[in-house]
Amino acid sequence: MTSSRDRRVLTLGVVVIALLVIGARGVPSLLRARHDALASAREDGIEAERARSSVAVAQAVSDSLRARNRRYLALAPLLLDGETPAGAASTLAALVSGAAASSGVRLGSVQLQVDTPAQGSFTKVGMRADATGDIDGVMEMLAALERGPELLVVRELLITQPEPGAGDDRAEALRVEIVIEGLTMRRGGR
Amino acid sequence: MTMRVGIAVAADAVRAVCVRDDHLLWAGEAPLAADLPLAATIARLLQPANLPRWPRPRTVVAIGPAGAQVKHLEGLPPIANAQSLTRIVEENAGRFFLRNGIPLATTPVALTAPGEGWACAFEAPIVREVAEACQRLKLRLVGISPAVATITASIRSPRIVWHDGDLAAEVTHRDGALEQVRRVPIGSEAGAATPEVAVALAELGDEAWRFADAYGAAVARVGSPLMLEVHGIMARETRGNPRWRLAVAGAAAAIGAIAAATAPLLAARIESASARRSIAELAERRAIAMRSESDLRRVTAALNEVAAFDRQRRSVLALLSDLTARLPETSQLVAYRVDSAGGNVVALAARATDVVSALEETPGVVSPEIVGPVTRESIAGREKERVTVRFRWAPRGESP
Repeated sequence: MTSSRDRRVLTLGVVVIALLVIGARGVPSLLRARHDALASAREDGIEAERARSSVAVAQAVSDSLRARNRRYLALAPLLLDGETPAGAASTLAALVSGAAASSGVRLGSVQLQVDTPAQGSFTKVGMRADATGDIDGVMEMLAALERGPELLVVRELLITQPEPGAGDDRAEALRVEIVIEGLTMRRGGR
Repeated sequence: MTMRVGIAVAADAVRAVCVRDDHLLWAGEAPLAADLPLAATIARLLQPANLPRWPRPRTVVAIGPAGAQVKHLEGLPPIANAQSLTRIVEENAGRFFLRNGIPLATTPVALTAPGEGWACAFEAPIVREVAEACQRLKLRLVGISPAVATITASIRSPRIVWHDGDLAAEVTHRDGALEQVRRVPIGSEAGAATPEVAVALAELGDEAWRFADAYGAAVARVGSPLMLEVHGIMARETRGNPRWRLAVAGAAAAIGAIAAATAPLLAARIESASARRSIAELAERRAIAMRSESDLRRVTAALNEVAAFDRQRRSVLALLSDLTARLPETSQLVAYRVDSAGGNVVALAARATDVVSALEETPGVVSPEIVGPVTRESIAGREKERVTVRFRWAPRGESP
């Protein structure tokens, strides 16, 4: 027959075992859940803060974008026309030919170059050309290319006087080698 | 005013008085029987007093010399902090009072000098019984005092011999403040006159002095010297029966532990939910803002690309014009070559240094230096020097 003391001991034992089981299984789960909840709360808080920051500066960003869009549109005359880089290179060749023709410079060989970068909004197109002409014509051609509406960069220029000792009665024939580059809009692939 | 009850527990009897506004309302005495517990005796004694249920009568109990030892303690640490001395006496009650195997309950020490003071030790079982009786009778027990202290408020004589069973104590006081307490043999007061008692107590006639202890207790103030206050009594009482308190404390601790474990979890979930709500509310505006940001980045990159291309431009025409303007009239340019790093010129001049000087003065050009040999040639009958000069572009911002 069990006494009340035995019952108390039995109850206490059951309670202790139950507590041990709860402690062994429940506590790690609780700690894990707590850790996960804290991490999640932290991430959500950071994300919410980012959202608030983005929204807070949205108006300023929008204003900047409008202003820069205007500047971007103003770039159009500086770029070489062309549906493709090759087309833009042809435009560049036509520009140089036109400048040479109007300056009385005789254009020789022409070699077009297209640089296709992996990224960016523009493609560089270039041209290497030989020409012959007098100093005034060469200067006029260079002025036309440098000051024209299109944004062109003379990468290399070689002007040589094959006959420096020739008399004034002979026509001046300077040899010109020029490498010139311009920009064109990169279409597709952006 | 609230009714006050004074109960005196002597070795052989219990006395009680009821007082209101210093008027004695009732007085009674009952002998202590061996077969009747003290609490029952007190209950039976107070039954005819018709005590009000509300407000509960304020009660002070006086315990006679048989159950309360009063001593002027000396040899305590010489400190003037009564609380510290009280604690010392409480923890070492057996060193200052006779225990005789009976647990003692000590009162606060009433300091007379640093390290000296009056203190009293009650027999704890009596204290417990008194407290239980008051609880059962719905009396508001405010304190327990030794009878030798309470009688000083009832008896005007400065020297009192007080009997309690087979004990007698001689009490000397001045205006209620104890000066001396000592045990004396029974009969040492033989022949002495009847003590002069307080006016209110005198109504009881010749035997009024017998109620001096109970009356003194009734009129005693809370915090009187040598009074064991009720919270002290209850504290001692709870030591013996702490089970329900332990249960409450355990439950509180368990709830606290659960709360401590889950509160951060709940707080994190609430915080997370709030953040997600914010994100959801801002989602549409944020998407627009992010698209704008992305567009802005792309447009800015494009503008930067064009600006970088533009920065590479150097006017070869301007350089050529500047250079030819600075060369002497008699000199001739044979070759002019420029690229992204710089360039070189081949010239025929009277002196090679004229070409170098011209280049040095030309804006946008730095470090002109002669490369190769300088040769002399005869051009149209004139002696000239052929020279090749190399130069570099000046860094941006240095050229005018």
